[in-house]
Amino acid sequence: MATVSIASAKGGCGKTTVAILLAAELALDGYRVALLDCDLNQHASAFGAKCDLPCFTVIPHVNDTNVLAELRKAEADQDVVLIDLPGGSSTLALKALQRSHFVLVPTQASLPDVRDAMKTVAQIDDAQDLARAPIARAMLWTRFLPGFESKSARHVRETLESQGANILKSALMERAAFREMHITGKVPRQTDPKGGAAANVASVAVEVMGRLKQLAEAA
Amino acid sequence: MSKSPALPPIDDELAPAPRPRLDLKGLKPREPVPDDAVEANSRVIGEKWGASMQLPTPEPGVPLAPVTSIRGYIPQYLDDELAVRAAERRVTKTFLIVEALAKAGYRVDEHDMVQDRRKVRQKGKR
Repeated sequence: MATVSIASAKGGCGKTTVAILLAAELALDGYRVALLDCDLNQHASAFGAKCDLPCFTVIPHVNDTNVLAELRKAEADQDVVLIDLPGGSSTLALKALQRSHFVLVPTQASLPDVRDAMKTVAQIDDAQDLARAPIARAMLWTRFLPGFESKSARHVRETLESQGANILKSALMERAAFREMHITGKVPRQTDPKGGAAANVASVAVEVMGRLKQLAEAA
Repeated sequence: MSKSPALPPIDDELAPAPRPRLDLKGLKPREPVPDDAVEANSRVIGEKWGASMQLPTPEPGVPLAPVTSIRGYIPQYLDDELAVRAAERRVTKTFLIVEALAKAGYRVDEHDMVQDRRKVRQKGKR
């Protein structure tokens, strides 16, 4: 059983998109997956109401008051619990971080995004100090434009990478299929399993599961 | 010469093998930590980072002393600095003044060091 939070202080960096895609990918792989929707916007819950995925449950309206109880319930009967956290800094997020095995921090290659992502990483450090247990984490580049990287995006990305930040090798691209899934209730693996969007999600999922495998082996 | 028949599709045979299922049994839920401890930790980190909180303000164990109002005049620049520091620390200007007086040796009981009395009043706790 693995608990994975998707967190960043920055809004609009793709947290909900990553959460839905990763949850759906793992559910299609046969894992029992619960996605806790902690975001006030409840977009993951709206997707959950539309989608038709095996072994996939979205738990809506998770807030500061009920997050720990909902997490315990989900952990009791799921293989993977994903937590889609709201932007900004909140005690809701801090509680979830303390109960996570792994935290994925999505960030666009822009200075405001990376600045807020680093703030989230520092909060994970604080949470692990107080929880007295390590919390694994990695950043994930999101909304990458296929075939084009602006000068500023390259500058931000290369600077962060040169500092040895913990970043997944795969990046989540900016793709129409990731917007369409909110309309259709279907993820790329269901609509176009051999397409680039499905391959993109698979590569991110493989890397995340690789990190979880390391944690499971070390446990 | 007759055309050779079309070959059957082999897409299915070239499909990638399903990913091996990862055994996550080794990962147990986090050590059971009392919710109170998680909440207290979240409060500590949240205050440091100026996080928004939906957590209710804890009931102080000792009732706050009755309060009274004073009015006075201070230099504008001092008021400006109080406003900036209060915003930075997310406390009230009154708290900063009471804190300074306490440090100067005036009696201010610890439980009366309330960072923002408005929040205590709004919650109808006292």
